[in-house]
Amino acid sequence: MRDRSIASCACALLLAASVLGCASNVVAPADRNVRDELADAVWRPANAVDLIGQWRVLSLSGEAASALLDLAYFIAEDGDFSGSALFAGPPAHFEVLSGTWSLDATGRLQLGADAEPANAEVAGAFLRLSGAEGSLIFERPAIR
Amino acid sequence: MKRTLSIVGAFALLAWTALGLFAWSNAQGHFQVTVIESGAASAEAQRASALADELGALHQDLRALSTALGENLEALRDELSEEQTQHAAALSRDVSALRESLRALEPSAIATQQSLILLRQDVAALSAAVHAAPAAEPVAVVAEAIPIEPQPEAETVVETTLPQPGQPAAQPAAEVAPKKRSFLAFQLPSDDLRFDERRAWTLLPALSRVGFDAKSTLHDFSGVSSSITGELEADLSKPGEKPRALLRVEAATLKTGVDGRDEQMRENLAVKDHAQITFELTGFEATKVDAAARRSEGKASGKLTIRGVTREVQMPVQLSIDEARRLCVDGDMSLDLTQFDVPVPNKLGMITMEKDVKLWISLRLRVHPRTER
Repeated sequence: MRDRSIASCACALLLAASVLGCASNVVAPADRNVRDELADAVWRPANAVDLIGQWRVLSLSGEAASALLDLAYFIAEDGDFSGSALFAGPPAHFEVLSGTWSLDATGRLQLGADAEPANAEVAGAFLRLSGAEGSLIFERPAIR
Repeated sequence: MKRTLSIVGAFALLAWTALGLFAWSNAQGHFQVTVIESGAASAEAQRASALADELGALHQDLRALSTALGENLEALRDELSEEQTQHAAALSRDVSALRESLRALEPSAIATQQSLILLRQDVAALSAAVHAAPAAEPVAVVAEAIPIEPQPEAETVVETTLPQPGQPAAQPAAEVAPKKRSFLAFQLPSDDLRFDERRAWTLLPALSRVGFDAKSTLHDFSGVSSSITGELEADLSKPGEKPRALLRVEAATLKTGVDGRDEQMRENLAVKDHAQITFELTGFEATKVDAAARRSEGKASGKLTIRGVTREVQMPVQLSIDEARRLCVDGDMSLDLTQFDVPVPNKLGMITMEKDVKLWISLRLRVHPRTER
């Protein structure tokens, strides 16, 4: 009787192991796309301290994505900023500008006097600026 | 003795005389002797008296002049003050009249501004319609889609925006696109990425993957790689018109998640001799094109090379532009490994893999900037 119960347990263990070992490891069609690591980021409204420093664009979306090839800002603590953008053209060309910036309590960033305000948010070391022309994610450049 | 005294007396006399001469010569520079006649002093006194009289007369004249000048200056000041008051009043009347004129013009200015806004919207709609219209009949499509109001400015803009028959629709609209200041502080061109023009695209390896799904008697699995490079050139609204593309995958980078199986796969793919799996696009048979939604579907034909063996294949694919203005290329197809001389894994006849696998692609490409103006 005892031998039969041990044999039953062994068979059950073997069956479970074979089922686990034979489990499918196929990538589902919905998972074939490369997942953006920032898709799950939790964004919060930026404050002034978050903005200070140098930023380089990491991803572009919206109309800005078809107009720009690259974008960088330097946001200074004294209220000044400077930016450079590489436009797709044709012909491809750089533009630079400087001005003053301000940030209200709701995270609306005003870059220069004439521009529409941008919605500024941060998640970890990333900065996201959103507006009518799209959404851009920036990172701190690490020049070696 | 007497003679000696006389000699001494003579010397003493000479010395006294010499001392006297010396003293006179020294003293004569310190004394001045003036000789005045008695009649000259009265003449000088008369001349001084005359000068004093003349000076008094001059003082009187100066006082009279000063008085007269003061009166004249006061008169001039009064006159200037009166003129200034009159001028200020005239200016005030002119400003009031100008204000009234501006008030009268304000409604027409607002109307003009609204007309300009409407005009700008019409131009933007025309530009969008030109973009969306087929290149063969650009003018006809635009005319049907957006009626042009009979405004001279609008006609001028439309003439410069619309392409002439036979010319590509893209170039003029791109050149006259108005600019606007964006939230980024830069002025961005208002023309968005177009679906209906031939452009070159570059594959983004970090966002692209290719793989295969295989079945075996033990369990099913996938092999995946992101070590891909490639380029594509096509008019996505007419993908069948001479599309060009080349994809290269590093065969040794395919991973299935099991090291031993990966090692076996690299041997079966002979990666040392044939490092790359390549696909060269030779044609595209479109089954669906939606230029407005920027999507198309069809069958991509090309030469697939695995393990140094090249075969013609066809893969159903979907093309679309995502929010980031990237071209997304997705598709899959069934592939018989034996057609490419790839040994099908078989472990002692117990664990066997099917020779047919599903080959799939998930590619993201970024448009290459134009070089021509």
